[in-house]
Amino acid sequence: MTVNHREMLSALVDGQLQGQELTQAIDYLNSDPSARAEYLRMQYTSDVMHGYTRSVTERPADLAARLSAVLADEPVYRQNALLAKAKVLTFPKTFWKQATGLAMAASVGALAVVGVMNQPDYQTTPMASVVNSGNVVQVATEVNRWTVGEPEIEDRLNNYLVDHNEYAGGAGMFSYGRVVSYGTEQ
Amino acid sequence: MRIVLAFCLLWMMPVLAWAENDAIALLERMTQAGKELNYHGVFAYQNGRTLQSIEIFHRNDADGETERLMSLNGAAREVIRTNDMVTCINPEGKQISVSRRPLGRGFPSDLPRRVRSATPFYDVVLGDEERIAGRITQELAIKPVDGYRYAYRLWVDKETDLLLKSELLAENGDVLETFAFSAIETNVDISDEDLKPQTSGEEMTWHQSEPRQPMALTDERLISNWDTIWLPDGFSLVASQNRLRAKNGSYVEQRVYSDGLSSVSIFIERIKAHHNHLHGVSHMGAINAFGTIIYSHFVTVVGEVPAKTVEKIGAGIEFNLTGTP
Repeated sequence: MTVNHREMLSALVDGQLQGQELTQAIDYLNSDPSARAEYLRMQYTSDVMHGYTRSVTERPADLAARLSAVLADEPVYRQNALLAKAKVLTFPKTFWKQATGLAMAASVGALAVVGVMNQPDYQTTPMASVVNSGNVVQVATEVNRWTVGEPEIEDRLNNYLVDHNEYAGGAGMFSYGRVVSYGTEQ
Repeated sequence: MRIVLAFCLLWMMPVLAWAENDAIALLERMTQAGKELNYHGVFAYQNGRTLQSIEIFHRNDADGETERLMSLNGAAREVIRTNDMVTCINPEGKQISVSRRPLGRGFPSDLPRRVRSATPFYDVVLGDEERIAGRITQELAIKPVDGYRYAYRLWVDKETDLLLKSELLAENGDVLETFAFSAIETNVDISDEDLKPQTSGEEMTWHQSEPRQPMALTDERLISNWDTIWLPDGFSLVASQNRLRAKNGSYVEQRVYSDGLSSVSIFIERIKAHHNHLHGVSHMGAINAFGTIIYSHFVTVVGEVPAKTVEKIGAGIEFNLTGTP
């Protein structure tokens, strides 16, 4: 495996590849078993780094500590880091509702974005609203889950997704891949 | 010149029809191969910026079909499908959800038998040969005639007719999601052990849903209080069932509409308590959902179709006061 190949796999894990580059990377994985093994190792390392191997209930304290530690070592983001840390401590519920849905790109920069999610001019993707809640729940969508913020609604949609999969057409045999990979974050 | 052109077109028409027939025949063989073959492999599921590796075991024998899928990254989520049951295991949330399969017909659903009925609404053409997971495949390009369904690109193994790669495309040509095998073995022995869940199930919360009354399409009980005043051309009712959700004790009516390739489910659930519900459109990858409340029922449209399709179908659902279920 060359240095270029390793960089390509790293970019793939980080979600930085698109279009032709992404196709090339997937072709490379298809053609080389050692590349697949290396990719899975890098993906696992990335998951561990981002705490994706932990349960949702354990994540807040863990990620908050990591966020603080990472931002403390990153002077460029100092201002955002202080802001983010303050919001985590003051409004943990709101913070985690947003952090759960936030697209977790593999960079420290993406973590720092958490600090500015409460800024009024922050751009999020199209949202679903929730009847009866009195609030419109907003969740960024770069994560493989329903774009709703209420666990009850998410649970109901997941049940529907499983039942609907019985009748999924084109992707056919692959359709339950959506269920298995539900909640995957990048 | 015009005469020559007309002659050429006339001469080409049977050739084009033959090519389309070839493509549809391959599509039918592909859906059949996915049910009949034994296979074990790893495929990637790419959706936006997320990429997941999934291991799949599929066995077809005298007892019918059994399949296990397991996520290879992050939490080891699993789905196990048998003839009459779907079990979803989520170790991260410590939950196991068991859903009895509708109508007891086995899987996948009988949609593959309807593929040919989809042809008026899609252009199906054979593409180039391409190498996927070390095998030579034939590409199939499937383009819809309108913007109410997605386009597909499928790569089918030339040796076994198995689907090895699938792309779902938006109207503007963007790839919404990709499934692609990175490695696959066919005609292998799949042991009982391969099909057992890795999770023991201890300390897990179990949720179960049971079908209330399986219904054939000819069953009079299929008469529902619910009407759809708009569906995309070619969509018709292909299945309907009521299911009891043990978790909240409510019945959910599911009505499935399909054009033979794309499908949409309408879920209708009577509101039993003060609960929140989706209002408007949401999505998970290429699957879109639209939720609303009609006559004290949660009504949700779910399907692998564009957002505007579920929204338009959802906006046209009516409660028929004169209907008698």
